[in-house]
Amino acid sequence: MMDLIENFLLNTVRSGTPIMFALMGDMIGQRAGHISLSVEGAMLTGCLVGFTTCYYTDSLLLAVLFAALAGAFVGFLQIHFNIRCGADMFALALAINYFCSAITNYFGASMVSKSIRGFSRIAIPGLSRIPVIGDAVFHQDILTYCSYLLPLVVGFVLFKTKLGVALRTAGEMHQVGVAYGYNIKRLKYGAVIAAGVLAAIGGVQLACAYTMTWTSDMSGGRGFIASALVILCSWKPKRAYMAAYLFGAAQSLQILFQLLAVPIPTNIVTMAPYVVTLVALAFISMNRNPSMPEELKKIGRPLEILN
Amino acid sequence: MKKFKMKWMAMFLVMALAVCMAACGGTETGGTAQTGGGETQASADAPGKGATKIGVLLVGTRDDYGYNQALYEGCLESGQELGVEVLIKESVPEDSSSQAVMEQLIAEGCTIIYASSYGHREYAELVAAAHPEVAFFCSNETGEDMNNVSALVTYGWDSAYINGICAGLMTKTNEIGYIGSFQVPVVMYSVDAFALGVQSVNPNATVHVVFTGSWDDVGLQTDAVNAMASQNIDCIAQYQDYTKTICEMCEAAGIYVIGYHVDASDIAPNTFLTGTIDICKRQTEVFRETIEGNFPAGIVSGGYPEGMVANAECSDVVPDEVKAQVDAAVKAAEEGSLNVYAGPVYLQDGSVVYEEGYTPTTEEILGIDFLVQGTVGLDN
Repeated sequence: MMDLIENFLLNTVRSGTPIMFALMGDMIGQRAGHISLSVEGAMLTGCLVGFTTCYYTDSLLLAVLFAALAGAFVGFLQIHFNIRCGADMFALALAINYFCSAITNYFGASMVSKSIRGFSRIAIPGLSRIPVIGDAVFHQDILTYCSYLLPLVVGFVLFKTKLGVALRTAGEMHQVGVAYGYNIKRLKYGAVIAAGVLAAIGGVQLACAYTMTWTSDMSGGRGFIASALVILCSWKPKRAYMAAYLFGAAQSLQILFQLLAVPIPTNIVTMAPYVVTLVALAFISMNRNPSMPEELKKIGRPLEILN
Repeated sequence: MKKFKMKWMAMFLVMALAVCMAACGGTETGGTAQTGGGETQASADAPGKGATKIGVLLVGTRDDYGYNQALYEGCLESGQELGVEVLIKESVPEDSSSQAVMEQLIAEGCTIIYASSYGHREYAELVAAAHPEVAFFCSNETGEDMNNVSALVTYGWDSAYINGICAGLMTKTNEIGYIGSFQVPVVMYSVDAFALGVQSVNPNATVHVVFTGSWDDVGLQTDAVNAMASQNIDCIAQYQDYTKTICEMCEAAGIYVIGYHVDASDIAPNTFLTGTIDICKRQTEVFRETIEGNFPAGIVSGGYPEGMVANAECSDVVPDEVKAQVDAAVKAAEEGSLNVYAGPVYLQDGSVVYEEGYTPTTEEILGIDFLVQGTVGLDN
């Protein structure tokens, strides 16, 4: 039984980590008033670039670096075409995702059969001995350790620094930002590019630490999930711990319930986080919750006359 | 000036996208093309008659340690044997773009098209209607009856049973894992055949079945192997399109692994036992008949005796006495006398599904939606 719980926690953390990165990335973007569904494409690109770099150079640092650059490029596409050409952010994101899928499929064809050593798991002395949670939480790869700190760092930047205030102004009421002399355009570029970078690093974790594999379309919707989970967190960074690991837990339970022959159909278990997100979305929208960035409220709202 | 730049950038991106899309279906030419003087025209004769080029659509890439790799190698082998050219398009999505790929292959002179993924069939039917002279092969039997469309369907239960024998003899903990994809009959009958094979040599062993709900989600595959390792499971079999991750994870964890589609002993040298592999003996014959003008419309099906499936050679990990038992089963399967589902077969709750002395028909096997006794897992 103890083994089982330990394994459940381990799988929860490992499957939750890629989502955590993309989730925090998109949260920065959304706080600045831009929803980047293209984090899916950025994550996929990060998977391939990270895996390929890892294979050829055996350097994990370079893998993260190059993947981050690729993710930045994807983020750049997302924001550039929106701001400069006025393209709709959602239509754009879909096009970018298909683009990423096709281009990684093409360049990744020869990487499918390759093996890498990737990130090894490092035990933190002492802490990893803690019963039950020790092995799951404190015996992980370096990227996972980074992901533990990420919500705290993002929370600090968003709420405790000048930069954060400026970013949030861009998302709440950009006219105010302009009045204060902030360069709103530059802030938005930065936020959305950061979303791409973080999602791509999540992709590196997925390809080089968690599965040690590259296959086409391996991100499998994890980026989309992350983007939706931002709402479940109601744009509050610290809630990402709950949201990301809720998804990790659902994925982990999907396997464990079957191994233990718990008579709950697999599809129901997999569906659970989506249902939670859907309900949360409905509630948050109804409450006119102040945590939703004002600029986002302008997007995709029903006509006033209908309410 | 800025606007001008932007336009160029947009155009560049569109072009890059177009190039990628086109390149994704990049042609691979293989086999030998020495049929000098062979007639390319097939006129109103049987579809595919006198074909000199075979076009193959793969949904993935050729070296995926799985379904696509098996097909890639198999089709090249068929081409070599028949002396025809084989054009293979990789990464063809299961949407309307596959239609364009098939049209392109036909324009390049292919008069036999093998659209190998399930989702290709509906588009193959559309193309087939416009090209009655071209012979089409698909992988799933469900679809419209057309004079120039046929399905190549593999029955894998004999092979799964043999895998079971090997796993049952090799396990020390008597706990065996099975990572399935979907709860569809083709997977269910394989799990059952595997479990029956295990029980035939080791009645004390239990088969723990997990369905990932995907043919190739590597994240769930990883979770499944980890979870199984924590459950004292020391041998894992699989029904997945893509097998590399599971084989590598098992090798790292020191768990025996049974492969699928291809022999993966090179990536798991210390743990790979055997596995189901797709072979092309029957497929080559069918292509030959087609070229001779006898296109087998409808369904071409078969298993071990027909040469559509086999087992990978037992690796060096497998001791000789186990090898001997496996080889005996292989021999029986080749002769068609393995009778995997011969009664009595029991359900998980102990009730009888096939009475003693009863052997289910092929139709019954293809409709299997239950798990047999000795398995732990959900069948709905």
